[in-house]
Amino acid sequence: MLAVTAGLYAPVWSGPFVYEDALWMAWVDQGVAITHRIVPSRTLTNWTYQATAALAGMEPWAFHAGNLALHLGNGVLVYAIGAAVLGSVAGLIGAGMFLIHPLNSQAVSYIAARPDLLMTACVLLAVWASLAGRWWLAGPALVAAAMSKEIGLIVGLPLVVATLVAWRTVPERAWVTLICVGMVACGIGVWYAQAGTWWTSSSMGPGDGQWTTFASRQMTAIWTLLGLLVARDGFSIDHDLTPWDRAHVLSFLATWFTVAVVPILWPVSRALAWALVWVGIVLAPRVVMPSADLISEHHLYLAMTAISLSVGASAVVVWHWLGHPWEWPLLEKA
Amino acid sequence: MGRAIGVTVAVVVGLLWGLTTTARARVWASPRTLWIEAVRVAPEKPRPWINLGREYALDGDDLLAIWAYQEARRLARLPGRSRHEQVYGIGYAGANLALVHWDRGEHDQALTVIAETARETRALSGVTVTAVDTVEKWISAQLDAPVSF
Repeated sequence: MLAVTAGLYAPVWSGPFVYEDALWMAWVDQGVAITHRIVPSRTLTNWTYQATAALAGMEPWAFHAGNLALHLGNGVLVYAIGAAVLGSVAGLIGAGMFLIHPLNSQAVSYIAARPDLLMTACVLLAVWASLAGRWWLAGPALVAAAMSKEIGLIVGLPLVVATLVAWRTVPERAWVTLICVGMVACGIGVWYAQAGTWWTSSSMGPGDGQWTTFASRQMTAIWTLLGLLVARDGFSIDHDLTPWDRAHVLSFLATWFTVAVVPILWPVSRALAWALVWVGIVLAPRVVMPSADLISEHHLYLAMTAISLSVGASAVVVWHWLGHPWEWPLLEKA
Repeated sequence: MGRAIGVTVAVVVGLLWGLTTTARARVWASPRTLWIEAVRVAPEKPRPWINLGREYALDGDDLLAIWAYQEARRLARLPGRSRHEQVYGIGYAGANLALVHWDRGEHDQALTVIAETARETRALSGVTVTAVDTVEKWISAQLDAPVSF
């Protein structure tokens, strides 16, 4: 499956740097290895660019290879997490979907999307490590996630906690460790994340200066891009998420319906409920925190991990049902 | 029988995803195809047109670049775009359009476009878009430069 995925992405290897790649490459050229902030930042991502440039020069293929390697590694981690909580078949289907689904193609093909790939790798590593009880690895992985992309600081720990709550009985000592790591992360976050200045300095461009306008447009944008999960066409580096009043109402209703359905799903279909919580944790900050632009396909990369695993779990349920169509399968895990 | 259908559906879905992904990878292999595809998917959005215009200009296809930038300006002026998109759409498309005209030796058109762009963006935002300001100053400097024989 990994080889097939590498083959699918073969055409992009000959591609040059495109669009915002130039911004990152300019940093590499200037030798900006580290910013004054360590957490949250993109320092780790920048180090990977620096390492690539040091090893292979400013060759686009080398940077593409780095992105592809991260994607393949993430596929393995998706499988490992899926196998641990849903069984190996569901994990394999989920990893397969994650590896080859076209909604991930922007994250893999776009060198400037490396922060999302790296942050996802770190978060998945933290989740896998905490599921396996390897706490010594989970903490550093979470810090690394926050050093890969700023949003990693906000989403990393909640994703670990949500996964443990869903799939494990967590011993008291582990909770204490988690809370400590969380507090440290939050402390660093409050100090460095420029919570206030981020809010006020953001151009809030798509919202025309109004947070409520921004949030409703962002919510619509998120649902529009999630629609690409079942689309064969319409993938792009730049979507037109033109304001459309009725769409805002629909997306608002869809969001609240999704939130409301989680407690109902939780005892019936843990995998689907967990996936919804995961996607919510990943995407909520994008609605709450204004930014200069609306969401892009590569911002869904981390959300795609849980979406893929929930599809894998559902496929296993359907498979059992097809073999015994007179019995409705138990949905506890799926 | 049911499971055979299940396997068939899974294989077909996997194939479709795989083929779409490799098609997307092919699109990403060139900035020109990337922005042509972006314009196809979002024909009403100014930014893909601006970036497509840039690719045309870099490839030396001036007429195509002018067409793309003009389209971007037209779309940015339409009601329904956010003000942010209007300001930057008009600003970046106008600044780039002026540069293409200048490079083609169409200096009068370049001056008209940049003056119009500066006026429009200022009226919309109250400030000057940096790109417009830079191009405006650059063109003025070219006009002020002594002619050498």
